[in-house]
Amino acid sequence: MNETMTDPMSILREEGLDETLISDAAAFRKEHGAADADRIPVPRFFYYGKDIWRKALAALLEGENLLLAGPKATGKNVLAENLAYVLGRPCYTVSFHLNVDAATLIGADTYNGREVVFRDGPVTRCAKEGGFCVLDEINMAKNEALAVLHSVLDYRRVIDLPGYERIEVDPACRFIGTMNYGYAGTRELNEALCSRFALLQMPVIGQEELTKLFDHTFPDMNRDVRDQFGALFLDLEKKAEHADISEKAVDLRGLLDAIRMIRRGLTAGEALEMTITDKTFDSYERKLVHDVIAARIPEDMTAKEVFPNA
Amino acid sequence: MITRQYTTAQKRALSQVGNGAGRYDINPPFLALTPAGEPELYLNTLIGLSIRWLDQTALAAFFASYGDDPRQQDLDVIVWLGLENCLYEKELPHRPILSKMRRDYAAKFRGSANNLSRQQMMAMSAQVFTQRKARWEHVLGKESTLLPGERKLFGELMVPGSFTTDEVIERLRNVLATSFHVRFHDGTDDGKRRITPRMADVLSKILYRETRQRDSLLVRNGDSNAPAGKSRVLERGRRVQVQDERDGAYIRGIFGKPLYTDHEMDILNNELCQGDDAYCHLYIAGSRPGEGSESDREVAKVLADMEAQEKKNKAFYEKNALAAASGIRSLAAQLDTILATYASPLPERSVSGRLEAPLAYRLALFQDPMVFTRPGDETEKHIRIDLLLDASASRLRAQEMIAAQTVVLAKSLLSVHVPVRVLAFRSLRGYTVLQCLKGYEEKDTSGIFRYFASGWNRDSLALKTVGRLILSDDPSEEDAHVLFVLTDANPDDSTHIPGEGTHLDEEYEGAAAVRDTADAVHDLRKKKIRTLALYLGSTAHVDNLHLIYGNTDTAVRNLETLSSRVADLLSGALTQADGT
Repeated sequence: MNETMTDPMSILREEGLDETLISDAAAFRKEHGAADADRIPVPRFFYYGKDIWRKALAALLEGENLLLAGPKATGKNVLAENLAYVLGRPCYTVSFHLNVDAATLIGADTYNGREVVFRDGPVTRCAKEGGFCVLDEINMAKNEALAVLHSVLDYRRVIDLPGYERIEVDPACRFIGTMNYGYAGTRELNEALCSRFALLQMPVIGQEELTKLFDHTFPDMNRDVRDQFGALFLDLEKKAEHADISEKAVDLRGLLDAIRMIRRGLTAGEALEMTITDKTFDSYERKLVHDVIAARIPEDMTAKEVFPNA
Repeated sequence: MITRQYTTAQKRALSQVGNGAGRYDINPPFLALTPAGEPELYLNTLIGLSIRWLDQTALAAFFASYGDDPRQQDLDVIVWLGLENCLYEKELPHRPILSKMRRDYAAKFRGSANNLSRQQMMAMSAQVFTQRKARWEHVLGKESTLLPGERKLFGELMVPGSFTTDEVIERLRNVLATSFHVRFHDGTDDGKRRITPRMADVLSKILYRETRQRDSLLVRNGDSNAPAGKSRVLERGRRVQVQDERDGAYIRGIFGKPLYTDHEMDILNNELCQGDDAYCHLYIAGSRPGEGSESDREVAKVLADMEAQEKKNKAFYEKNALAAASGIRSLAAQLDTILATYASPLPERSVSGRLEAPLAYRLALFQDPMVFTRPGDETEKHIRIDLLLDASASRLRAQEMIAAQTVVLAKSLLSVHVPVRVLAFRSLRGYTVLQCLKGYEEKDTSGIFRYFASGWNRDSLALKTVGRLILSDDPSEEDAHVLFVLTDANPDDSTHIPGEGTHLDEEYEGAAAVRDTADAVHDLRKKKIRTLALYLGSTAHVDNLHLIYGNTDTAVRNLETLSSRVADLLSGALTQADGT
């Protein structure tokens, strides 16, 4: 858990953001208040990357919706959560899949025992509450299913339900889409939808950001071991980029989980097998992933070496 | 496009090299595999580290500079021992696990060295083995007892990590020159030839040695192209003159430029000129003859003979034009029937047959029974045919007939829209030359008249090469492939088969050549290339024919009998393969 997540603005200062932007963010928080404080996320990880922070905040403060595009493990969802936290908005996440339709997003008729009523979907609820709606893996759904969002996302900012009242989207409400090109099942977003977002290409995490992430997450970790875990992640990423292995093994969450499990008593070999190697189901690919790990982290490494002061 | 093919273990070794190098767009000059064929993690990581830390162009030039030494395998071991320490020291601060990997490898070496048999010990270079043993014992914390000279060499091979590429090479060059009396071929020692940076760059891409920790030797396996004019060193250290510059010029003068790039030809040579064909060289040319050279009268004479033969082939065909036309009509009609029968039917929806799961809901929801598929009336056919013509001197008396029969075959196949390629093969001066007389896409069959007979015939190598080309052209293996070999079933070549172990080389003729060719045919059939023989001429070698091709052969005496024989063969092959 990141101990610094108490003061949202301190995060931005730590990243070296311009004071004007920080005060604008603080003003946004103050102006809109929090409708549903329980839904304001407290992120487990902090997003590192000054430029991305600058661009994302500037876009959201200007009333834009954001589309975060990038490969696996670039922190798209982490950033979305961090933005909601920093700007103090409740967060609603919709995971997209092939069968997502208008009813899933907006809501549908339901029977309450006496009469047929409309039950809000996550988009409607978020629009009413002025929250941040994370449309996760937005390009997994069919474009036709997303047409219902057009009026919500553009200048009209309304949800017009036939037979029901017209819902105005709260001024604090923002939509943050995430997408990864090239995943199985993903498709190209159509122009109509794309034009309703400001697009942010998420960079691949670098050595410096990894070091910060490890330091924040495991402050008591041995520095040399930390560097080797960081190098391991970059090795896996490079290998996936070259299509030697699939992206399944490029799993930053898995790597952090492995370190936790080492602290809990597993050897590095056992932990990494569970959280990285065995996530690829092809036996040959598993051997390749195993080779990458074997050239960085000793299989028999224990908590004593990773956390020498514990 | 011909690309190098790796086995699964080699691919994994390549991946390990990439891990060490930190990049994957590489073609490393070495790969390390254990005796069991498994990739050796530590050595492959080192090979990768050499790419990360050292200048590959300079290193490739250094490896090439002693590439023709009969002790090259031993020298490689010594050079890598030197590189090992240097790379280890360079990388250790960035990769602490390297010390553990090094110790693990040393322990593995100690285990394997203790289990060596007397014969294995005798097969090794004592000097090299001593150095290896001393290095790995040192890594495990134990110092070996060495003679003063050995101690000095041991110290020199502990190349410090602070050295630059030039310093490393200089140190190792001195070691090889003083302790092993190596004469280098880059102009620094005897001034014979200097390897330019550009040449070294090419070498670094194509030079390929696979190191196997077998006993104490690093064995060069699947070795590549030494530069032009250089001798190749085979596994047991024999020197064989393979690519004499004059022979190369002779072949190029007669057959023109190769159809493939030099790099592609290198890949084919490395892959196919192995085992029994290790002394051979491949050359694949188009149908147009070379330009010869004014100074080479031999080439000029061959070119004149080729031109005269082309005229004779055309004259013979024109003289038999009626029989040929009739043959084409008859064969085309039969082929059409055979192909129509063979063609696979496209599925259509029906009320019975194979259930199509995505449609199943229609049965329950709409009571629609059309949720099954069955073979329909519409069909799809994809067949490619290759004709491989024996063009050795034994066919001298039948050249016109063979050219005419091939034209009839090719035209018949073209008329039923089956892509057909025609290749002729013969061996000259150690080169097995495949001449492409007609490509798959060409409509013009006149190139076939350039068929001429000369030299020897190494059927096995020609068959292996055609198989490789067929699979390169259709990597998805979607098409059905049929290979007709027009042969006299008498493989015979002047280039010997290398002997195994202490055995002497063997002549490529008689039982050995037949066995080799039969193996090649067997391999082609395993790769689903339907290989059929058309037997032309005398019946002196009919036994060979059955031994090589089994019962799938047929004799053709003249143009009239060609169509029925070919139709029977093709029909049999297609129906048998499909089990229909």
